[in-house]
Amino acid sequence: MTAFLLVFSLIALLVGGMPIGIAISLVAAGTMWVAVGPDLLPIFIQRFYSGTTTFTLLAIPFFIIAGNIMNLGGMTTRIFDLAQVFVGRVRGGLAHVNVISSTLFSGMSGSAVADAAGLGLIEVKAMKDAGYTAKYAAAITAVSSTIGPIIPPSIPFLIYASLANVSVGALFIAGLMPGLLMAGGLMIAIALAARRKGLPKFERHLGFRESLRIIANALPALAMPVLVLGGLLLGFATATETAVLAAAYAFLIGTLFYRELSLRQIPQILWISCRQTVQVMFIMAAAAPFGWVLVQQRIPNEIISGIVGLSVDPWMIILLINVTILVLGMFIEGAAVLVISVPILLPIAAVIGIEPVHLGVILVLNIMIGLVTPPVGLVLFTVAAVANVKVKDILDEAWPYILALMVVLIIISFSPGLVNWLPSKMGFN
Amino acid sequence: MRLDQAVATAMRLSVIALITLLFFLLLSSILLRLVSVSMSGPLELVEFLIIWIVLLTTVSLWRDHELYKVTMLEDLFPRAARFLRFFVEVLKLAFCALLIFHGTKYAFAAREVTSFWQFDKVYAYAALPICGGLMLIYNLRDLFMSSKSLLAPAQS
Repeated sequence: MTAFLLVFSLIALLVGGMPIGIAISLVAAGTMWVAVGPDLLPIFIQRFYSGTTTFTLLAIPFFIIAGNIMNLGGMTTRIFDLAQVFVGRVRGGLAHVNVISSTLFSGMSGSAVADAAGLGLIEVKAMKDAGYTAKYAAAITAVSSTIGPIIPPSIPFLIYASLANVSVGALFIAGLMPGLLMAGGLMIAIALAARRKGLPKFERHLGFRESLRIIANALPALAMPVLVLGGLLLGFATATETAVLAAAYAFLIGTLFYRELSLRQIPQILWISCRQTVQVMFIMAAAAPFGWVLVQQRIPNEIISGIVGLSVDPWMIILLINVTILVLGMFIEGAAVLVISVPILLPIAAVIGIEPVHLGVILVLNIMIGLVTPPVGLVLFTVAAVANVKVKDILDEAWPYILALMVVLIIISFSPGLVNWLPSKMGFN
Repeated sequence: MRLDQAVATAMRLSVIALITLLFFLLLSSILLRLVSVSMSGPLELVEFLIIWIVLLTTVSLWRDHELYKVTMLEDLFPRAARFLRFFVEVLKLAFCALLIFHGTKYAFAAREVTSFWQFDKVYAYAALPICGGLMLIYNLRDLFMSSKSLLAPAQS
């Protein structure tokens, strides 16, 4: 009964237009009040405070700052130019360049929205100039942005790690293979569409010298993923510290090497980054009392017994998880989906033998697909604004690529080895 | 109006200053570790900084109506949107009350100090009622606007 009331009131508040963090907070506090009485409310405040000050989550603002500095400091442009050297000359070349650029960018920023807003601006303009329709350019930019939070570093993985108490390093490494599969899946879909749709070829020939110059120019940008992953894997720095190093490195390269960033731009970057960060961190603050209430009311146990009664086949349960998260992700912002689902799904995963790292990758991949589907597709709306195209037009072009991402999701969901192999090889349990 | 602008600017400048301080604090702790110097003392400030950054920015997002929310019903039924908005604003009062009332109790009941510098943690916990108070002010403004729009057709 409590579970039903909790879920019903949460859905009612969310659909009614209550800001997500406040809705989750009110449901948590309301359940405390109804179930036990006002004596529990100080626990709400205590949990809310500890949820806000979790050290792992401190990485989020600095990865977002790094992404925003990269966009203004010229690193993003160099990555795009580099991708052109390698895949620019095939039919639909710039669509491939778009995917490769996002894959490289994702090794540095970890935010799909930073990719869509920053790199997306360059990608859409270049594709339009080369003869692609604006809606096709926007569609490819939107779907390729979803690779960002799968390839490390990743902001949703940081959130999942803090909710599920899983190693950030293991999650980051686990995301590598699925991220590359997403890039591969999108590039296959582009190649299949290239001839049928008559996509343009990149006609400008880049000579050996020019290619070499572009590669040399991009090298400082490419050192960023080495710094981030190297710092984490060698135990030199924590996730939060690598985020700080990434921001510092992006600033140094942008000001001293590419010379496209000035000190005057920094306050505005910091302010915008803080606002983007707190949109998510406020939900995370509400997540802590909400998670406590769920456990205190034994709601995950009720749901587990319900699901196990429904089906004990692990594959069926994985399918059920995928469908549920995919639908939730279409309506609710990604961090909120994690906040609501992780305390419930983690014990279910343990019962049916899914590793927490594998579950994390499945959830985040579902949420990424939710970012490019209406009605709450954040990336969809960002790209629509960047490209000045209607959301409906982007969707008309994007659906084959969303299908490609779903195929990757199915492969990842039912092949735990693809996710767990690399972390176990690197010594994560 | 001027006061609102001044508060907004003060919040923006405070957040920029705090995040800059946090950045240099974390960066120097990494760099000092390279030369085997521990920085546990100054790192005690991190908790103070992060709670103020998050809550002050939340107030700013609250003020500008930019906190993430689902707008599906508002989009589907624009006529009913103002009623929904009114109820949402009323319910938001409960959240402000929680932060102000229980936040104040929590801040003064804690009596904790940090282990190295002996900083009184009330300065961190105080962010809850103070920012809750600012949210309440903006909430009352929105509630006033929303009830005005609710009454508008009856007047015409």
